[in-house]
Amino acid sequence: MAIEHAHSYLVHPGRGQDEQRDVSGVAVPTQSAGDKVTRLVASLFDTAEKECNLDILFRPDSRGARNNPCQKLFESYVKHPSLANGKKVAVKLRDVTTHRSGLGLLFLLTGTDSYGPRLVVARFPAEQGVVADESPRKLTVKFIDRVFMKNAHAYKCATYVARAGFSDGKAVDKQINDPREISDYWIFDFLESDFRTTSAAGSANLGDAVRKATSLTDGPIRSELIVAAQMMRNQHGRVTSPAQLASELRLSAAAGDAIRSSLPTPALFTQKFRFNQDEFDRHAAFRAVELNNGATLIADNSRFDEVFRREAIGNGGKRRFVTEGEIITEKLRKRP
Amino acid sequence: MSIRLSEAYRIRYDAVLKPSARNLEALLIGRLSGAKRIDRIYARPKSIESFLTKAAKKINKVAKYTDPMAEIHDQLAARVIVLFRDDIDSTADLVLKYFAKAEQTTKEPESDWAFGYFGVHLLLPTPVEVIPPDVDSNLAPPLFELQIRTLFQHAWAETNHDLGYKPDTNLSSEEKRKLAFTSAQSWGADQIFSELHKVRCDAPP
Repeated sequence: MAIEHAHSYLVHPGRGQDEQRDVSGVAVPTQSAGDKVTRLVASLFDTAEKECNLDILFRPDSRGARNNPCQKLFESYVKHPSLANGKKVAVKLRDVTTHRSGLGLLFLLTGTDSYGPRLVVARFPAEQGVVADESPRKLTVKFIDRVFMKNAHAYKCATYVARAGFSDGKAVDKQINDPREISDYWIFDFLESDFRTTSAAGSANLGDAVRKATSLTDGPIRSELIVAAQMMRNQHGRVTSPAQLASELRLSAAAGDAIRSSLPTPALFTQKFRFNQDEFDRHAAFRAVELNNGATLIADNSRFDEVFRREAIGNGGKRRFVTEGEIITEKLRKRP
Repeated sequence: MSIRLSEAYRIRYDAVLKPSARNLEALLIGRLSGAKRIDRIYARPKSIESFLTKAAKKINKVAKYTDPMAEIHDQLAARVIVLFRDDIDSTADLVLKYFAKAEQTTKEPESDWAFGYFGVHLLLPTPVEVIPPDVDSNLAPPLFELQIRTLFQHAWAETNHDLGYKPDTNLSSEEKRKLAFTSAQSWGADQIFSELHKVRCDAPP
């Protein structure tokens, strides 16, 4: 992979501001092998495809046409990667940046990889820091408030295979699950994009996979998957992936593998989407009934009434559930 | 026609489009299983001949496509045929629950006085799960086209297509009137069936 052009712009918050600060930019050398900034942008360019783990798609306009302002700016920049064309992108970022997101340093990088021309757009947030300078006689410290870092909590990046149509977008946004409006800032407001995998599609795929995995396993793995299905329901609204859920719920390797191999393709294991509980329930289809005596009954929704016979006791809401079967596993489990 | 383009598309056709079309059809049938009044769902890869013809298209002697492999979006395409005109919107809504939208176009004659092709076309991202697992997903077209039509719109479009009519051929005035007439009849049939359906559905049991 070879980076060919790089520009950087200082972007102040501009959303809701009466007076807009101008955006200043600079061309970053891409061929000075000894230069540390050159090495930084080369590294950003080379790792973007791997780091960007969210597939995105430019939104059409309100009439449904492929007429996306951000897409047009990117196309124009890739065609003529000049400081002036890049500044138009930076101005667009400034106009959606609130004070909460703060000052940022924008990098626009173009080059070529095995799939053709590539564009990388990355934003480093401004941080505060202290520089410590150690000399043989003394240590000096100095406060600085404009350090731009590839912050593990706020770094944002997007990358595109810049072929006609600009359809292959990927992004990373470490604040995507933040409950505040900054979760919309990068992908929805600036890139004017949506997730390529809709909430319903991702949740349906996961639900189907969990149900299939449960039917193909038995013993402790099956029990683990049934409990995991109940716990996954609490993820409503979060951007996640089957792999992330398996990790966060500390599923065993066998249970994770069972989900992965039950997906239509292994690539879906790491595909991110916004979890939707209703859609997941429709497909995972485990029914859990909790009684006021502390009991919880769980079974495949389609077989629940067959597995548990339900009897009314008296005229109130009391019910007796009856079931028969051989015990496969029985163990103590911590409360979720 | 470039031999390189022909060869590149042939490889994509055999390795990616043919199996992906089968998988896409199955996926759509599953996703839309809750929809009412869908007559049929099917998907197909664009034939090599049809792709090369489209890729060679010119507008004012200038090639319409600079990168046909990326710009021609119906290499992988699907159709959903519904019974009534109102079903088009509800079906599109259901499709868009499961697929992000890159583009939506309502195809209809420009003038209200004219009749011709009617239908809703959606451009949607190719789902990764329809691409065979042994194929690099970057080799698949990023988007596919989904058309939603009523039975009558579909009947007109297919018959019209089978007549060999192409938009750039010169039709006589009478031929144009005949085609417009049959389209108007299809439009009228859709209109009346929609009205009858509405009346029957709204009627008390």
